[in-house]
Amino acid sequence: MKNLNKEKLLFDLPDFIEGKIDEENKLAQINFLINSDNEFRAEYEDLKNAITFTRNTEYSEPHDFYFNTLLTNIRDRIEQEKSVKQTSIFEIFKPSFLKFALPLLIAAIILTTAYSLGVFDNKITEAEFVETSESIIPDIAKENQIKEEIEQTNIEEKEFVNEIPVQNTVVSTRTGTTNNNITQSALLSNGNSIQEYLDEVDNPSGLNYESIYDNEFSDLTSEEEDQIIESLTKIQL
Amino acid sequence: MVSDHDEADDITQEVFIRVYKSINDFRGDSSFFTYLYRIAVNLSLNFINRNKRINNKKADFETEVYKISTNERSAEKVFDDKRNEKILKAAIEELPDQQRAVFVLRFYENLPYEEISKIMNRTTGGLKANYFHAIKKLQKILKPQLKDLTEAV
Repeated sequence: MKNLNKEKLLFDLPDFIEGKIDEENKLAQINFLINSDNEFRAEYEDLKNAITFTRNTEYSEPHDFYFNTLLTNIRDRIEQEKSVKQTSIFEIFKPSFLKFALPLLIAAIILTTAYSLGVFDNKITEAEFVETSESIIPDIAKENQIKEEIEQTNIEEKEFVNEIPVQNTVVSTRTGTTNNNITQSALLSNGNSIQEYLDEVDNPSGLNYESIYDNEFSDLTSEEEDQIIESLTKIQL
Repeated sequence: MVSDHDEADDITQEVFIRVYKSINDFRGDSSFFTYLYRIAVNLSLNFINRNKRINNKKADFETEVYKISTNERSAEKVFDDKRNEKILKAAIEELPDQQRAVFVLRFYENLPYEEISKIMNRTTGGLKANYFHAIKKLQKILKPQLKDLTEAV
């Protein structure tokens, strides 16, 4: 009995006084504390007086018919709230119906009628289709003709390369390959470093690209050049 | 929980209307009884909080009035039931909300702590403590009356 949880048992005192505790062990512990602990007994006495007073005090009951109207009142209030809800919804939609819903309804009817009559169907005639197609799809025959013209005006790579002597180097700009007259051994034998050689390969000295392009078109007449440019523009190259 | 019949009537109506409105939200996790009580307790506490200031003033006034009157009548050592009721009501109104709810549910409604725990979402230990402190506070408030009563006995 020495290790009793006094505080916990103190909280059980009201139930003990009211006779609401069934556990014999707990009853025994509380009885032991009441008999042995003065502070606990004082608490017990105070609580007992308060509980006795509260139990003995009778509340005046309302008249028998006081709550007779309770059910009716509840029903009335529920009905009232229902009617308020219904009214409020109607009141909300009434002005907006005339302002917005009605024109929208008319517009919807018109649109539905138009749709059913096939106003929105895309019926293109065959002639319209061909005309449109021609305007959109480039003429293949014309394209081929342009290609042929380009081919005719092309200078063969070898001829082109031979015709463009650029100092020590001849470059084929079309293939992108570099035909250096300066070979690796020559470069190295000249006492240049490997880095210089690599720089030279990457960016050959003495090349004049502008002159290459100028030479490429140099044999063409201005009319031919214009034609080629026009053709290239048409086929979007 | 409320001391006036009219207030009780209003709250009861409100409870049933709330139940009617939210009956579809009742999932059956707890018994309908617990669900009903929970709504009733919450509405009562809301009502008490809403009218706290007025009630406190009223309670202070009534306590003061009856303290004087009971002192006057202590010579006769008789308490009128009607007066005791009013004193007790005033004392209960002075309890903090949670203690008041626990006290009413345990003392007057005689509900087990497990049920109160479900209604108020509190632990049983906490409820026992609340109940104890509620009675303790009542005892302090009612001390003059209790003294007279003890002397009379």
